[in-house]
Amino acid sequence: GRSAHCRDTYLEWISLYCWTTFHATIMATPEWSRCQWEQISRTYSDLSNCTVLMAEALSCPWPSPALDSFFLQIHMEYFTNCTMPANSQPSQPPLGPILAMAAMPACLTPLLVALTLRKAREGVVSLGLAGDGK
Amino acid sequence: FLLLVLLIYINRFSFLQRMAPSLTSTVSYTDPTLEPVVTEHSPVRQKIIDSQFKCYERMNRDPPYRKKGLFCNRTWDGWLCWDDTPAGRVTAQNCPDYFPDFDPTERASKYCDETGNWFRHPESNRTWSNYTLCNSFTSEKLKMAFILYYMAIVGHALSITSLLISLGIFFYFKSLSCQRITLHKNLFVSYVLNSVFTIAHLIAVVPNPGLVKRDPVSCKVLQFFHQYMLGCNYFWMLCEGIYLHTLIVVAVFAEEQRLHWYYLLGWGFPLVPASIHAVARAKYFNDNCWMSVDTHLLYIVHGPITAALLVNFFFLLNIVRVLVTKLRDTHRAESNMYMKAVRATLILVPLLGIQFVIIPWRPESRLAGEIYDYIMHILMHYQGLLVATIFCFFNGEVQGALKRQWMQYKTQWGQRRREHCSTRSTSYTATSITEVPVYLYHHDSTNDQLNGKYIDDSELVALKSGETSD
Repeated sequence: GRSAHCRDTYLEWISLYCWTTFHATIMATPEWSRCQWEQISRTYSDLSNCTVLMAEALSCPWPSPALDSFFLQIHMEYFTNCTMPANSQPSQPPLGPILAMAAMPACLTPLLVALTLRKAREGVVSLGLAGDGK
Repeated sequence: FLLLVLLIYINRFSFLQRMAPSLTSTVSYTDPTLEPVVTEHSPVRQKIIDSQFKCYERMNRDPPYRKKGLFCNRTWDGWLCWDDTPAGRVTAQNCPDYFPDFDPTERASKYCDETGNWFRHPESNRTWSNYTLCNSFTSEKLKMAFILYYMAIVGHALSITSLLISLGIFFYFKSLSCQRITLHKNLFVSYVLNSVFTIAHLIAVVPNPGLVKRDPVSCKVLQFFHQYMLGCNYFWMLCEGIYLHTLIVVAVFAEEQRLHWYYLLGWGFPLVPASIHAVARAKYFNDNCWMSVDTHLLYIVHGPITAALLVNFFFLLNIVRVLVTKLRDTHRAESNMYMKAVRATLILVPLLGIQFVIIPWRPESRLAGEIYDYIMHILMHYQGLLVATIFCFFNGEVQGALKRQWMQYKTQWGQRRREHCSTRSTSYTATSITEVPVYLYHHDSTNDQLNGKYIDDSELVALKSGETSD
């Protein structure tokens, strides 16, 4: 039926047309640069566009579970040894050091206040003004 | 919970940032039948490809679904990555920021039906994720963001003006100066600097996505000083509280304290949390221009501020307790005067602190939420104006000094006009002019002197007649 058409025929077509170009381009790049996103992003983008055009040609939806399985295979074959591309949003630092760093000045505050109080009181006493006043 | 306030504040403005180069989307995404497909190589397309790559990497590396029951498989829907979801559940995540009118604080959702398949839109029979909330409120939010933005700038400008006027008054009228006024001056200076840095940030950094993208060191330095000044504000309020406490509770109205430690606490200590925050931010969460408020690292600065507010509040309660119970019988007149002095600080500390308390309770409904935002913005950005008004313009002493100066000018003009017509010598009029303010000061000071000198009325008169120069 239609779903089989959009699964099997679609996968056939993209393997035949899209994957072959992709494979050739990847093999043409040196091995050390295959994990660098700046180098391969254009190739990857072309692969993705190709799958879109195939889907349009076959009147199939894009994306689809078939596409997911295709790309999972691609990633398993070419990118398993790569580290993830750098995150645009930095990840949250570990909670322990944050708590320590936040607690330190927060706890220092009342200590410093007490110190200021004591110094102010000492200052007043040394000037001989504490008590009943003049 | 403090993060929520800044989240509202900054989210409005980072929202604004994305609006500044207003492009229109080339895709009709609210149409359920059209898939999100754009085939030219644009920055938008590049962002989407990046997300797609990361999605499939994540799908590969995440462990397989282990729970029992039906579930929908993890998938890439063209814009966002969706994890394995149990059947019959709606999963949601934040909207992407690919398009200018997509609000990343809104949520996109996807429904996994009972049969373990993703929801298909009835019209097109294709799997469909719900992105309608992402752009439905955008224009209203944008309008409100602009209003709040301009309100903030106006608030800080007004604060700077009123604080500079107050500082001018305090420096000009030497008769007003005492240790408490010195602390006020320092507080006002810290507020002025805080407003200056905030306005610089709002005008130079927030509407300027190019600058944020370039991420120069100067904008991080600006943020560092901004955090430092914020700390100084609250620690100077704390110094005011400590001073009053020492004055009233500890030393019973004696005036001369050494102020060195107050300066250390007010200007020196806030460097510590600001520096720790800068180092931690640079090491762990080094986003562009340190604009993001989505990090717990901000607690490094806001923790001590909250501690300072709490300590201040307890000091003030203690002062009120002492004034009411111990001094009521023995020094009634003075305790009344000190009540007036304490009243100003007592009003301000809760006002400054209340924004930290009511933060967690932002109302859910749209209208109430907007009203809440307006109130929070007024509380946050008009603080300088409030402090200047309560500590300076509403101060009886200051009003008295201004009135005397005004009377002096009036009599001077009056005398000058009469000089044109009369034949009196100028020296006679000069001496009569200098005597007038002393006479007035004499009388006023017995009624409302707030300088903290515990002296008998008769002694006061004797002293004042002795010192005619201030």
